[in-house]
Amino acid sequence: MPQLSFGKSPKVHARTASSAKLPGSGEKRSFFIPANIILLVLVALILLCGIITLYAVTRTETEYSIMRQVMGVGIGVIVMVGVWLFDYRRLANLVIPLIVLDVILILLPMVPGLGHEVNGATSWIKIGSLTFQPSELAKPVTILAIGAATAQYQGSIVRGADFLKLLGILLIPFVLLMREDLGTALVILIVGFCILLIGGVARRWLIISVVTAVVGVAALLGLNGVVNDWTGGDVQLIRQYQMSRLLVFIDPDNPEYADDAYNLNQAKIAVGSGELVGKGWGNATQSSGGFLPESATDFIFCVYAEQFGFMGAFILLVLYLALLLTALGIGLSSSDLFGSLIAAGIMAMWLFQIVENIGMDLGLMPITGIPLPFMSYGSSFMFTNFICVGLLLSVWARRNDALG
Amino acid sequence: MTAAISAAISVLLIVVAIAIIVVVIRSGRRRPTRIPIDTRNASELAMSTEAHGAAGGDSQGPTRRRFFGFVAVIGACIGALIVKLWSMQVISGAEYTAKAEGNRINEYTTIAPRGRIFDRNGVELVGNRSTFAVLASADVQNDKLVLQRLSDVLGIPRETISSLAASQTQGAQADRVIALDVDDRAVAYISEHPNAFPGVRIESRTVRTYPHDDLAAHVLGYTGTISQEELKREVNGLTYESGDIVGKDGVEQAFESYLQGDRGIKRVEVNAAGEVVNAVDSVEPVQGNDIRITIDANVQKVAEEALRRAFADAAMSGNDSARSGAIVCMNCNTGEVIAMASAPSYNPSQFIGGISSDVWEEMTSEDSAYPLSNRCIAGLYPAASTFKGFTGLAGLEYGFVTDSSVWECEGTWTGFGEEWPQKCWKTEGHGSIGFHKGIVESCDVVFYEIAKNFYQYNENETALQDYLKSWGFGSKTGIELSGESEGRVPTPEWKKKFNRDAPESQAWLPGDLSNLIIGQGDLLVTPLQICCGYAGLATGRVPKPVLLHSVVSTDGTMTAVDGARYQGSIIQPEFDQKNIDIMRSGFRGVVEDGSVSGVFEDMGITTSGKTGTGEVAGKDDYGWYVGYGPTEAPEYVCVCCIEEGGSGALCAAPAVRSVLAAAFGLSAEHVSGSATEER
Repeated sequence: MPQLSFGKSPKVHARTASSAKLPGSGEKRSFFIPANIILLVLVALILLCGIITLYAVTRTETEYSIMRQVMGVGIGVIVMVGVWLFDYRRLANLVIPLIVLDVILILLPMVPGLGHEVNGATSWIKIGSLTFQPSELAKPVTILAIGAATAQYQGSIVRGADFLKLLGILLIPFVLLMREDLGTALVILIVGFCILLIGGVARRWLIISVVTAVVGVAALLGLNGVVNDWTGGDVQLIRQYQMSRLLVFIDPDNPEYADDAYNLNQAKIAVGSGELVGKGWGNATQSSGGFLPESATDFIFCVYAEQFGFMGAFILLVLYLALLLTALGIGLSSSDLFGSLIAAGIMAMWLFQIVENIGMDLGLMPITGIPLPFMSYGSSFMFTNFICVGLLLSVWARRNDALG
Repeated sequence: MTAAISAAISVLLIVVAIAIIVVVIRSGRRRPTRIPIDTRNASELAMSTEAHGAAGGDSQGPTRRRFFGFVAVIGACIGALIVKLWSMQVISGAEYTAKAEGNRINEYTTIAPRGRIFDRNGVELVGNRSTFAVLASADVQNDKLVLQRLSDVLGIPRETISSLAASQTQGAQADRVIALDVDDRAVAYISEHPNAFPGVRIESRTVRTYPHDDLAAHVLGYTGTISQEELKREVNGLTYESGDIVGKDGVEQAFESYLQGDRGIKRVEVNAAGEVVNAVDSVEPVQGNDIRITIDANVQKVAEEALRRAFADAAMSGNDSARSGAIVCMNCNTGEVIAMASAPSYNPSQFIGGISSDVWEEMTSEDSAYPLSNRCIAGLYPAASTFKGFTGLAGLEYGFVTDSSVWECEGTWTGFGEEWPQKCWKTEGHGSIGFHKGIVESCDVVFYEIAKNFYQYNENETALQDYLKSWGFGSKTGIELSGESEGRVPTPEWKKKFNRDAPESQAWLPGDLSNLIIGQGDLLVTPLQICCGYAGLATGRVPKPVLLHSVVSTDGTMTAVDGARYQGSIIQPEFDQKNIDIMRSGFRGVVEDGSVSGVFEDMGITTSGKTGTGEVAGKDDYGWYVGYGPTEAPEYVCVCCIEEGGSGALCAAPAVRSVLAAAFGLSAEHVSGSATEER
């Protein structure tokens, strides 16, 4: 693979832990900031898959606009460039402000007059005709906050107090988001955990927290029933639709969850009926006939797989694999732990979303509203993903730099 | 695409994927790929690379290891997705495709019109008419709003619609027919407001029309929705669906396999809301075959009118409770039934769209005299004196009587002893009487003498019964219609079995034989059996009666029913030609010199016949007449039986005259009041 990032002489590569500045390091600040072309090409290819699929969907579902999506990409690219040019390392010491920003973003939809309800969840804000999901933006902010906090421990978190402090930072956005948007909350939890993992959490804390999480989830499920009984359903720890989606995954034949079972079934039929080579572009009958719900957002992979079959799905998964490995490579390449953790967080976020979104289409995962990166319709989500690409580029561009 | 090719492609894809993974991972490692030509810096470069590796190892060693641990996680996750995709799309792909097609394509069958029914000359007896049916799903029964709207539009009470929608008779899954023959206004209203009528749909249907109203109703029968039992039976290799209209009685039922059409198949593409997006393809329904039956509509009309006149005649002679009766007229040589009338009758159009329970109850109540019953084949009567044609022949065959035998009729006969007096219908007696006159005047004493001979015949206790059975009595004639009765020829064995709970009545008495010989007692026959029997007496062979004339295939070619069918099923009873000639001359004498000579006067052809007047306990006498003609070369035979009509000569003979005249194309005017009362 050619070295695609060059500004100057090979001397640039010379960097040591002692950061002894070599002659000529002053010339580093050049007009060209190195970009990871592979990353950009992969993102572009996946975006193309998404746009092609969305175009087919819009032929029957007029509520989606291809222009809106392209505009989302355009704005995303501008933001990406901005983030890329910005030196992420300036945030390394701003853990508290990042957490505050995170909380503000999460609580923004609860501000009266701003909040906007979509599908029963108030996780949107509406300004004029523009709707935006600020919790989406909370994902990269959380990555930055946890990453910055974790990086301060230099790759070794052994003391319980330190671990609890980091866990606390992680649990703030999770708990705040849990009620309104469990999907995003879970993404943040998983991503935070991966950052902690790579950030050097001692094995014992890891095991303890995993066990605690399992027990906690079990307790929550149990308690949910008790609280429901006590309050006659007025207070629900877990919303009914969340419970139903979880239960239909465990017990798909139970008629009580027929609606969710229907969605799952239609998603599987869409994917399976694509067979090896697919039905061809624009021939996704499951989506055009309206059998498949949310065909441009949550279930866009089904539409893609129905049209392009196993071959198309395989290509898309290989693209995602390459994207994840590229993110991982960028993390590896970073000269400082903060950069590595940002890349690791982004990679974990994408991985979880890909596995959850595609997994639910295949019946491997419970149905949630987690979108598929660069494929699903929605500008907030697109915006977030481009911020992440920008962060990766920012890390990559400065992989050889000492702070300066 | 075959599994092998798809497997090869997938293996190739996996190899490509691994290659990409390797490349991507390698790209993550720093590698001095473009070593500058400037040798001055070469050593410096080498040094710096080494330096970085060492430095990275120091601070980021464990971090790097964890990163590479993630490669395994990513690989496993994406790998799992690919394996699952492979299993769903390639291995089980066809299954899912079938499900997707099942989603997308709605297949339903379209109803084929039944074949029409014509008379032997092509006169339409049963036709088809297009109409609209309103169907509702079972859910509608619970939707009060929809029920109310349907009730308003169709003018049917809400409760009725609700119970129709709940009805299981058409199958649990199928939509129920709520109303048939719905007027255009209602059809338009329902189809224009689909949202107001969820679960309700309009379907075009063809229903039966009866151009001649109730003409030949008993022969034609009626149609109705297939029952659950019929659905399970799947007769004649036909496959039925719930909701199919099938023949329930008469010819409609007998020739169901010809008349039933083949359902068409319509495949449409629908969306999730069930709206039809476009039609995919369709197989048009094939109308059932038209058939012609042997009935002659003109003769049938005359026969039905003759029945009505017979009741009037009966009333005139004081038998005013006569309102039921039967007439059968058939070709004596082929068995083709050209008229079959039964009174009282019904109108088969009452069954279109299902008969209401009120009407049904009325039709099956005792007061109604059972209009649905086809008395020609199901009515069981004492044959009375018409039976003398067969018992007389039996006496001749066994030599118990000859042409020259002479008896003395004193009105009362005590041949079985003084304690068993038997009366002749003519209580003052016929005086000295021979066999010929015994037939013409229907003298009972003559036949009592024959009965005595059979009673004393030791070689075979049931010689008379056996002979009568050889003429078809006691068994079905085999006409295509269902519901035919066997009748009964009483034997000692039968009597014992029949009275098994009353030992005192089990003994076979001489009186049983003397009753049988004059067609009374425990004997029961159907009018059709008498008709066939007299056809046999007239021609020497008992034909099997048939109704199917020919089948017209859908391409218009007419397939006549094979003539061999008549031949093969004819009964050939044993008799001596001399003896049957004696009988025939007796039948001729009935018309020429007997009580009905006035009835058949100036008819245009010479006919022969036999009267009968049956005694039924607690009722007026049942009047019979059976006649055939032309006497010299018989072509048609006709029987008439009038329940509680009194003397057969008075009520039945004029009816037979009209029908026979019509069969021969002669003036079918009704001649009444010309007969003299006689049995």
